[in-house]
Amino acid sequence: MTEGIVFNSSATGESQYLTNDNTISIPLKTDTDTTKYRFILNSGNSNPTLIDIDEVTFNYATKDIFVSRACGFKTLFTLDPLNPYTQTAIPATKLKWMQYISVEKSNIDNENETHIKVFF
Amino acid sequence: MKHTLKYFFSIGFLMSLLFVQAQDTIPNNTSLERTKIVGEIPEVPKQVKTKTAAVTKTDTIVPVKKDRYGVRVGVDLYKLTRGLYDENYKGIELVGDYRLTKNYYAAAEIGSENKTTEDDRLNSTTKGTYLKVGFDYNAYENWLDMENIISIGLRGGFSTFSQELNSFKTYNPYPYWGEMPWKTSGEKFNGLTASWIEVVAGVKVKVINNIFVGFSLRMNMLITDKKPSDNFENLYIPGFNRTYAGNFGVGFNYTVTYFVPLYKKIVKPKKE
Repeated sequence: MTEGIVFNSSATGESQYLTNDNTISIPLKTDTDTTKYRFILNSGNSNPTLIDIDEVTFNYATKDIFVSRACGFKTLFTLDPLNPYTQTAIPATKLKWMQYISVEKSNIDNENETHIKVFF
Repeated sequence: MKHTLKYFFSIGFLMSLLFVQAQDTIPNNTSLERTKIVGEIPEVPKQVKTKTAAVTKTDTIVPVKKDRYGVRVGVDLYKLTRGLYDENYKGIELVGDYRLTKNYYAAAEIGSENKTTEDDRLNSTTKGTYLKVGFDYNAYENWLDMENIISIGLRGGFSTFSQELNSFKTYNPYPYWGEMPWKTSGEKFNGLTASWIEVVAGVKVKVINNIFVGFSLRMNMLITDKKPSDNFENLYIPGFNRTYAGNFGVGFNYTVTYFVPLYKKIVKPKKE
């Protein structure tokens, strides 16, 4: 899956995948134990050396919780306590633009609180 | 409900008997009336008097009416035939009642069901047996030797069953990867129980000899319900049927029963 997450639905083309917010929400796959994302800094910049790509793979365990007859189940995630994520720069020769990734909460059971902080 | 049903069927039976009344003989005194001349001595009325006396004499012979008491056993055709056209369902229900008094019947149903419930996001299979015990009150006053029943009754129901979660879908309001496919689970929950109260409204009509055909509608109120776990609930309970929010359920059966007469009781005519 190469299509990005739409942060700006009113825009068209590439720019709908861009955001300047200090907080983003991203989904995790409910049917696998890992989800891989590429986070691109300065995406679309005219100077290609300023564009930095980090690939982060989140490792977690899922737990399915019964909601109701109509909704079915929901999935709660627990980030792997030993290895919650793996981070690589693309290409690997470049420095990682995310200098520090901090797992604030490893139990992900709602969408209202911050689970991971990224410093760069 | 009881009175409406009773009234409804009373009208039905009344209509079917109207033509019988039409054949009733009318005392043939019209010719006498016709030949009656004003001022004649009252000899003719005497004749009429004796005639009417004779008629009343024959009327006073009241045939002894006897009610038959016994056991009625049968099967629910609805559950039995549903297995033929619904591949997700297999079930059988045996029904029986025993006449206690003129209007009261002890009644019971015992059955077994195996049903796969297909919801939009859940697929589960329930297997189990159930027993319902209670009584029926026959609100219908039969004419002559008719033995039809329009009843209202109560049952206490109890069921033991197991439930297996076959597959489910995960709820996702923001489907970035599209709708997730069904997840297979196969998790099985054994030793589940439930009990409930049923209000039954039913009709039974004698079709030939001792064979009765009837149907009943049931409203169920769940009393106890042992849930499989915190992570699942009983979506279907054998005998109780589909569970809804608020412990409410409905049922239906269509029965063919055979009446086994055991003894007869003379019906005492009501004093007027």
